[in-house]
Amino acid sequence: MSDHPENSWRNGPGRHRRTHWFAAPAIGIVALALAACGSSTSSSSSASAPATEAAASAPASAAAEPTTLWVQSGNGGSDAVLKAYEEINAAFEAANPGVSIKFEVKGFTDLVDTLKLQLSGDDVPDVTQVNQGYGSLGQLVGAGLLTPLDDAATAQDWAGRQGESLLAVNGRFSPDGKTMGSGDLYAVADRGAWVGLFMNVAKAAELGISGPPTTVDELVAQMETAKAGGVTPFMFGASDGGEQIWLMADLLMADTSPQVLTDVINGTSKQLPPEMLDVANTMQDWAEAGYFTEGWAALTSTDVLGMFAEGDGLFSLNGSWNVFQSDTPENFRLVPFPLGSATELAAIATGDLPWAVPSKAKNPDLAKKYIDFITGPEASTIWIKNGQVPASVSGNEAQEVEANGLVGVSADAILQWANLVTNGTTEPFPDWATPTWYDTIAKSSTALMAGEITPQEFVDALQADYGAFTAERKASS
Amino acid sequence: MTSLTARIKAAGGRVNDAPSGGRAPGEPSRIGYLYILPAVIIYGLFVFAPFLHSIYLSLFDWDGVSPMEFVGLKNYGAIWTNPIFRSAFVHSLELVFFYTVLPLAIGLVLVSAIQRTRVRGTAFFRTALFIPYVIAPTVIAVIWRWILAPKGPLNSALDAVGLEAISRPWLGDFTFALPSVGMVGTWVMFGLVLALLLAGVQKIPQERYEAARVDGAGRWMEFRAVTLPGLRYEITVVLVLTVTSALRNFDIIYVMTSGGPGYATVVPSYLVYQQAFKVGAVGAAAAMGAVLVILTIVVNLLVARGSRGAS
Repeated sequence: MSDHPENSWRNGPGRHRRTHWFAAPAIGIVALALAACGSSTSSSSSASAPATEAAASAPASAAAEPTTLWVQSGNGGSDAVLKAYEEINAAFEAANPGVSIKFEVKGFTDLVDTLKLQLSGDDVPDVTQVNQGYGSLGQLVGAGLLTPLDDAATAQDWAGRQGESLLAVNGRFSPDGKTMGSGDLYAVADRGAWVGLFMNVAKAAELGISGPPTTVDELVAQMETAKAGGVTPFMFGASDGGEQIWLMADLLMADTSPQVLTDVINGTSKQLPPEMLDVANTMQDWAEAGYFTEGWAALTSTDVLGMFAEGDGLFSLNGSWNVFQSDTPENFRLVPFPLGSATELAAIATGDLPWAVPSKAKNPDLAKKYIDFITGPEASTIWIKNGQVPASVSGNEAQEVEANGLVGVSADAILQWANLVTNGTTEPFPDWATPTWYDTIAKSSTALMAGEITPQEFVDALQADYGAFTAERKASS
Repeated sequence: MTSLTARIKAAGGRVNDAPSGGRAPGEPSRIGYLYILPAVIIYGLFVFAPFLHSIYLSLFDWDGVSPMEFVGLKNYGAIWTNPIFRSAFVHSLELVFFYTVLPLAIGLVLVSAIQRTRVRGTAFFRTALFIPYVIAPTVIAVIWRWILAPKGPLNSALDAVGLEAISRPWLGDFTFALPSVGMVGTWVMFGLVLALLLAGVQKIPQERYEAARVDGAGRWMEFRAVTLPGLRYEITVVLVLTVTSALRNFDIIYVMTSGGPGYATVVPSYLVYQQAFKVGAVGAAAAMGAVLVILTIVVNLLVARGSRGAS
């Protein structure tokens, strides 16, 4: 499971949930998870009190008959997120008299692995989180299990809140589920998730490094400095697969352009770009140069981020959903991976598991209203208060971050996200390209970086998987 | 002259005098089938029917939701042609060495040693050795992941005694990951094997050993002529249990390595899970599952036949 096992094979932000911060108390975590499962189905009773008050003061027309909205989340195990949902649900109930929310929480793997079966049945939630990509959302859309949300999106101007490219990344599909990134809107994210470079700026200062790198060459030079200074340059853990996929995508963007990566993920061509070979060479070179954590192949990304948070290493590559607490938060920064061009701002940046309305939902209109609410400005304030990154950009992020006393990586996660969505390009997770790509990249790149296969063999393995899927998809669409 | 039957009847007893249906008393009656009916229904419903259904599914290309497309034996062909699928079965056979051969070899050596010298506190050792087999595999896997971690206790211990050359990220090493996972299997199975063999060896009559010694048998001869034949049934049980565990190994692999690094520890059950739930290739997963079940049955039949042949 954990993990690492963990699989959860979409490289989406949900993946961290199957890994554990600390290996030893894993049993305790299992116990907690069980406890969470046991207590998860609660229609937040504390919230019903304000709802009734509101109902009393609302005009007669609003005193509709009581409705229960069945909401299904895959954020099990993320206590801070669930706490925020509790507040948001209470606010939604207060704003919608007569509505009570049945909030059901599953773990990420649990949700993703059972969703297809669940939604093909008759007893389905009104609104549920789904996983992005061809293997997950694409199959659900293709099977006609989800309702398009375009009417609500247009009416409430969701594109104005999140930007069209983010909406497309998270939830647009052709109705046959064969083309990602365009077509109807089937899912919308309420929280942002992006991958960036964690940097220990205190350690950098000790090493005489002035600031975050702006090009890959600069990054390499800084890693050399760290190595010479006896500091692990790059905290890297490959056993759960996410990090090498992010690294590959970031290096490809730096070597070409964000557009090339977008095309690869959307499957515009059956052929991977030739620069993939350079990327493979770089990855192997870095491993051979000893930039990575000792024993990286046996460590998970959460293992190494935990070590990084305790002060090990200069850099680490991880997601904004994994921002950590520290006694010295000002020592750490989270910045976009350097792409080399000062004008180009891009990062792997999508939503956390987006929300969708199943075709067989009993209350589809209320469900859309719920999605509108949790992606709206009132929810944004609650998200930031709970240290989460709201997907929608309000423009008030800086004040709210300051008002809530967020510093270091927690502040960076929110502010850089707003900057990316407003001024940059948001890239999907690379493994969304094919259902098997996560596993193929994760496993082949470990072999590549351990020197078991050559860069050419690595590219061939990726191409074999990628080409087969894109060909099949194009043939049948 | 009164017959025995008549006398019993006279005494108020009951005798089954006319064997119905030409069946001698004590012969199996058809009513026996009624007795096993509940078991048959449950087994059929929850084991056999799903197995047949998954064989049916294995003939289709299906992602779990879209319409199914009949592809015949293509999914089975893929097991043979796909190098990753093939390597999974090879890894399984390698694991048989660690789950079966190694524990059995160690167990036999220890048992024959114990047989010659009386050990105090056998009951305690038996219990202690059996504990790994009783612990949930996931817990075992988490514990061993920690022990084998790059900065885990094993490497620390090796470094402390100057064996830095040996210490390595065990589960991240392409050569040592599978043996490392295998050794965990040995550790789990060893207790079971020893407990079974110890129980078996205690029921071998002491006289046979004395007779063998009188005949001038040495340690090896004694083992071959007395201990090994005496443990035949226990060995059969050991083989069936451990080989099955080795072939169906999922939990330990899933938690410890997820099949990594690269594809170094991928096994069939892991691929079944991955193909069915992650990739959405239900047909391929079903085919692999069917092959795994058939392989397990065949191996167990061979074991059973082998043990009968030995007797």
